[in-house]
Amino acid sequence: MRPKSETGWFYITPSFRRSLARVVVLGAVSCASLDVSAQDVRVTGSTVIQYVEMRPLVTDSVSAALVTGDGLFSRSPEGYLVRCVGASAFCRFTKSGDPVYMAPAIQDLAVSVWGIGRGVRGYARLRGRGVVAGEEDFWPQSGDPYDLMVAYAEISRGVLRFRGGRQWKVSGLGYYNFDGASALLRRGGWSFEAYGGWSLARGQNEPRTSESLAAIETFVPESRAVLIGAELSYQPDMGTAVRALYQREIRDDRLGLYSERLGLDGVVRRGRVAVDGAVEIDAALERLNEARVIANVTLRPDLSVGLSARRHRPFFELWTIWGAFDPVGFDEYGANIRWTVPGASSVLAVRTGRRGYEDHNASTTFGEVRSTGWYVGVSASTRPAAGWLVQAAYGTDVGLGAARSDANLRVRRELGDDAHVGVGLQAYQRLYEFRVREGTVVGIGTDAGFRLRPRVRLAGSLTLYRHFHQGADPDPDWSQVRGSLQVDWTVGAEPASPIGTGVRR
Amino acid sequence: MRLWVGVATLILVATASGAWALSQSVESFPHADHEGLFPLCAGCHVGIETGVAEDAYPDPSTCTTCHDGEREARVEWSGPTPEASNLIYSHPDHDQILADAGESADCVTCHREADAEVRMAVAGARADTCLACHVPEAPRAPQHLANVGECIVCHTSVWDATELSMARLEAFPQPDDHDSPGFILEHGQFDAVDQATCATCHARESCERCHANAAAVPAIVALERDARVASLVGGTAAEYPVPVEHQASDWSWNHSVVGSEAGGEAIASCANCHTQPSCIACHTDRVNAQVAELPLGDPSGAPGVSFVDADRRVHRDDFALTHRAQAAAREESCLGCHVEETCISCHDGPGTPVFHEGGFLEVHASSAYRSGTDCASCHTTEVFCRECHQGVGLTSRSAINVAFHNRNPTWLLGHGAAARQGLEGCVTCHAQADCTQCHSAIGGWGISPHGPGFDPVRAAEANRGGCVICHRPGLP
Repeated sequence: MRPKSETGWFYITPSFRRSLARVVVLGAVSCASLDVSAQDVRVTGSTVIQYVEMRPLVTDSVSAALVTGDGLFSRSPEGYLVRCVGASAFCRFTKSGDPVYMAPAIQDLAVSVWGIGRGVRGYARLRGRGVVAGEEDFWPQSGDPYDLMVAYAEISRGVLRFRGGRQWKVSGLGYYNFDGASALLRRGGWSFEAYGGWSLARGQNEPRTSESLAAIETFVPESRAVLIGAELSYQPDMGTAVRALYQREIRDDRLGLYSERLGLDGVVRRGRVAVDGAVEIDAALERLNEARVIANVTLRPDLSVGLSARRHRPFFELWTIWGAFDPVGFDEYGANIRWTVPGASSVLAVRTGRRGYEDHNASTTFGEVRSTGWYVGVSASTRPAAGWLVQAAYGTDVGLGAARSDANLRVRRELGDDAHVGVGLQAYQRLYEFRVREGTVVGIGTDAGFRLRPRVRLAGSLTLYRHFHQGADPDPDWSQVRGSLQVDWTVGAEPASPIGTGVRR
Repeated sequence: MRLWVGVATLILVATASGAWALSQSVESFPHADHEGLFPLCAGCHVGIETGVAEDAYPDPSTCTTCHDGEREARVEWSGPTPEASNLIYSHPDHDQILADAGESADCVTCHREADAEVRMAVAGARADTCLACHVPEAPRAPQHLANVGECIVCHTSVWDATELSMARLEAFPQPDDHDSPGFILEHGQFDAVDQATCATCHARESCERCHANAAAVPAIVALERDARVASLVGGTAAEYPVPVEHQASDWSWNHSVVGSEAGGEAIASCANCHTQPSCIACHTDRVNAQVAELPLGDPSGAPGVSFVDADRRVHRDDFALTHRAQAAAREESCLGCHVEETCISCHDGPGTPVFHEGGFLEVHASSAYRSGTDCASCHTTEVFCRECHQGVGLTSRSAINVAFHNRNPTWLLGHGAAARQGLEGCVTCHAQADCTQCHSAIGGWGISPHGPGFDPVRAAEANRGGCVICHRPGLP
């Protein structure tokens, strides 16, 4: 931890200064080189500064002479469960460390350019990140000062669209970034897209061989990968759509695959019935990762019922060893009911489900784990008066590895379309691995949003969480402070919006 | 014969006086005080019987026959002042109709005060008396405004009642059914006779106040314009109640399907309240064939339903999880309302994701274990999750961390079941090296993690590089 004097509010970390400077310079160059008042450029900026104060878990030690109990069940004088190895003079244990805080910041800058020629468009999105104040290494990716998230040029004419550059492919298989090209053919309700290029690690926007992945993983891929894929979609009418997608990531030394996946999705809506289905297959290992069907029936205009069935088995990329561990999945069945009070000012929803895991084929000599799980939740919202929104929810989710019970209440005052102020109250308990034991964490917070100008919006939130312990065990302290401040702005034109801004969020 | 003439005269006089009572403002005349003086109504109101308006009331000078200041005090009665009316009524015609039907009525049938004990307790005719005959199916005389009769039988259209003042129009009473919750939504289902009834009070401007398509609706075009009505409704805001079917949770999403299935009739129905700007408020990219059938919206006419400030909950609650197929098949449809930032706000947003509910981070563990929101669709669990978990200390640090895993120090010895069932959760904290300490044929204890379903040949064919993390090339 740095000295106190360097973690004060007015201390701007070097990494943030560098990333902020890069983003600002690039943004300024973009804005200066383009007439943003013209009808063919839109620049969007989003600045998010968060504040987190918490007590991270740290490892501590205690003299072996001070512990009580035997072997694996030894405890420190404070009651911590400790681990004593052999004849070591010290035993180690984990506890909540001193409170630390950080203020990570993310600056997004997006530029969309069109009107250069018929059907020609360009889009780029740059992200800068850093820590404004506090602990620098605490926040994910805080050591990665900037990323070029997307940068592509596009030409769309008639039934064809070509895109080249850094782009993403969002599908039921996930969010895949790649540096390459894609071609899309649309005709009637049919759509066919082929794409390919250098694959990037999802969530990193960098090759898998980059340092950022190596920082958190020991065995990183030795080579980059090439992503190729094709997608065929058909939407004969507004109520029906189906899609099939196949893609594989091939090591650039051609010695193997990092993934080979197949996805099928479809939705059919007829009158009061809507059925949605999805299938994801790991073609390399011939495993079904996901099969899901959801049916919703609108019994009355104010009452709808949904039923779902799902089989899930996790997917892992082939450069990891996880797939070789033979992970098993579960089957889950669920139901939900939604009742809208006539006038649509109040909504009551109930959902529930049960899942059962496949046989794990492992020894249970030292204790069995849950082979089933269930959840139930109820939520309600109402608008008791114009401009007021009250929401309440309660849910319990019990299953393997983690379980929770939580309730929350939120009251929001909407001041037209330009401002809102809200307060919220949350309480939860967590059991099992990420538990707060018999204690309860209670959070109280507030949030507000204001449209300062037609295309400038400011939003912020602050929530205080307090962990109320129960029992004698000195469990980790989950008390936290979380806050955020966000400014979104847009300059330039709105494409194809003759009268309004449409839905932008 | 003289008897019949007398009766007929009586009837005519009575009906004539009744008509005047309905159509004119009658200044008070103490009929009861003169009961013994005038044996017949026609003695003073002969014009009612004959239809000669000048003779409907006696000349005020006849009062001086008695009220000469000597026998009786002088009076200033000058007769009623004629007042404009929208009433269609003729005493002689009614007399003829009754006569043709073999029926009869005298003055007191309509003009006698209820429960009166004296003969000349004269009162103005009441409308429900009319309805007693004109709505014979009613079990008893209905209220005038109960909407059981047809106004047009007795009243002219408002634009024909040119003599009526603005004040009179404004004071028109409202029928009872106009207050019912569904009246506005259902009033278009009336037939032609009903629509003529509407014309008693309403002119075309009444409809144009709300109907964006007024010029295209025959029933509205059939109404005349009236400047007085225009003035009265001019300052009144349009009313657009929400139909019941629009209140369904998925209406916004399904309305185009409903419109397509119902054909042109549905579009015509939509056009009653909606203009093209109603659609374009959400469908920002295009004006398709259906939307093009809607009126453009006249700045001086009905505004149409505005969605500019409305709560536009277009998609179903589960849409965030189920939109993949539609987004892929019709990306341009999505772009009608959304820009790329919309996708990014969930898929790779810089701020608080809108996909998860507030406070989700605090309670996400159980959802993550069951992949309830399909975490891997947006997050690379090995990277996204682990980086954060490492930051807050949720990591193994190459030692048995007894604070976790059910606070069970023997967890490691029996963790296989949990690992197989919840491996997605494991990798959010553990690096591969944590496992290869034991599960490796190279540097570990050689404990095989493979289950009975593991196909080593297929795994090796897919990526041999994954195998050599734990196995020497060519060795088991």
